[in-house]
Amino acid sequence: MQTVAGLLRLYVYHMKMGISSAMIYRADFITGVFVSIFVSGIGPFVQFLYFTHSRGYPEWTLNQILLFQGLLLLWFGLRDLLFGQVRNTVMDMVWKGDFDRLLLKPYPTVGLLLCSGFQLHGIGSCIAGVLVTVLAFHRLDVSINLWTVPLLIVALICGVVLFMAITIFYCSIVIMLIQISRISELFDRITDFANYPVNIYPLALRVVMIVFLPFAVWTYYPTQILLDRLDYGIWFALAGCVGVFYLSIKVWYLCLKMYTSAGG
Amino acid sequence: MDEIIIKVQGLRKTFKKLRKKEGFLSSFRSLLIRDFEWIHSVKGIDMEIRKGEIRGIIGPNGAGKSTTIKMLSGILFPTEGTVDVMGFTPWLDRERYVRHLGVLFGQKSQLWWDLPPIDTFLLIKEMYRIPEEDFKARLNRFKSMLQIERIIYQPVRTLSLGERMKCELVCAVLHEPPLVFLDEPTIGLDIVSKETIREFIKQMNRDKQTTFIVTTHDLADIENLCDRVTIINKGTIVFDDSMERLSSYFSNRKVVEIKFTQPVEEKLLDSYKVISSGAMSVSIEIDTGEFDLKKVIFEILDRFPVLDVNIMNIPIEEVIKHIYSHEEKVVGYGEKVGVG
Repeated sequence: MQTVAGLLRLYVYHMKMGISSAMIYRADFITGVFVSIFVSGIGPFVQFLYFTHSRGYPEWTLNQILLFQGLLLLWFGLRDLLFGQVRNTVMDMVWKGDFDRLLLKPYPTVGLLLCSGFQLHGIGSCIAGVLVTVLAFHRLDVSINLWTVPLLIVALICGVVLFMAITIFYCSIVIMLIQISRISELFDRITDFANYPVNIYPLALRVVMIVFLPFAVWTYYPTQILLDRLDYGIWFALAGCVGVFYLSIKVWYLCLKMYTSAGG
Repeated sequence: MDEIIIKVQGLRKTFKKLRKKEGFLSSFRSLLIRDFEWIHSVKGIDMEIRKGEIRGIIGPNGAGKSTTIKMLSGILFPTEGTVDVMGFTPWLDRERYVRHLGVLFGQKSQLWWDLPPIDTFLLIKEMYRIPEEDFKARLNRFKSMLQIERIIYQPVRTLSLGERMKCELVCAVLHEPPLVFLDEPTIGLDIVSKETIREFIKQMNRDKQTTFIVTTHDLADIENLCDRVTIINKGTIVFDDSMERLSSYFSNRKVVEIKFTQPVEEKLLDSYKVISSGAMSVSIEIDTGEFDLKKVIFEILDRFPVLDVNIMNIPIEEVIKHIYSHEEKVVGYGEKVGVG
């Protein structure tokens, strides 16, 4: 518990340093935020075009999809803010042998890696997400009851835990194979399944996305909570997140033993 | 200084490395078929280091020094052998162990590039939970010792290499660890910065009884800092003894430096083993086991117009070059055994 508290403190400290560092190059920071808002805005627009020029998604209205898109952007932003830097950091560190430095710090190395993940550019997606979500709230009659907020918080925590687990799997592969640049794309394409409502997929894929790789907790279930049409599958998804995280930690320690460092 | 804080027994590390022949076709072939070889980087190292010691570890490139240091600091798992550092097994008790350890890699930085070093120091304070009072006191002491009062508030990217290295050193010792590994701490530095860093290390060692393990290619570091030196070559220890013993390694060989009042013809010196010569000076090596040093000196004084004579031990660089190129192993504390 003391370690987790220490890592949280370190994360906050790293975050402050990351912000200070980003603020030094103001032009880069401001351009980054604008580009991020613009690029993030393309997603809902494409969905809007798709929806209005096709039969849309079964069981989803345009405004409901707007809410889904808003939460999706919010999740993208949050994910990038919290851990957006980890992939670049780990690849660079392992390749150059700088990963050694993390092994010399009195914390779990994977925790330190995640602590260094803060990326300010994610703020763009967050802003875009908030705007789209507010718009969707405005157009939908969203009812918030006693359970809505606690459930959303639990889903958010589990979503973060799941993303941490996926990032840890990525880091483990990098530790083992050192230079594997396209693996990042592979991870992105797999997680892209979460960019659409789970109920549009065939049953087998739906089970995978709810139980084994419960991407559904990122956007699908938060949207369902807000639309008050939650199903019991969420409990499998929440448990799945914890299970995948546990597995990722086991794999990480196994791979860490194979770390060979770089020449002296 | 009798307490042993590092005890290493039978330490070995073997790496599986890719072997690739030259050329484009070979690169293409390696996509399908890979040739590996097993490289024995460390082949059974035994050593003991006492508390408060400054130990130099030297060796040619690829000798296994860094691999040994990485195993001692818990970065790498060994293939075989045991290591006990302050009661810890580094790779098993890593998180608890590294709280008592400081490490400086001369060729790697832990400073945040865009921010002033003080921000990294504060991060280290947070990481090692250094109390505010201790942090301030230590930082003030280090600032004046290393003369970095001004630079710690300037972005790292604007600092010179010497200034950065001083700040890296502060990062390594800010939590006042009892044991510090320094990997090439003076690499690329000017003579003044080198001297400041060496003085800092000596003072830390004196004041806090900090044990330092220094790996370097700069023999001046070894001569200025170390009580004992361990030479590693081809994965094994080939010398492990005091600096004094290293300096007098060739006790039966002396170098005589002679300055003349006027030029001396080279052929007149043919009967001596000349190491180097100039227009008005010469250095000759004398094997005292074969010749009487006194006799030879008198003969030189008698035959040549001598202005000055200086008798010295074989330079330490020569000793180390000899040890690097001959697989001659000195076991324990001075006993010499030929293994080559």
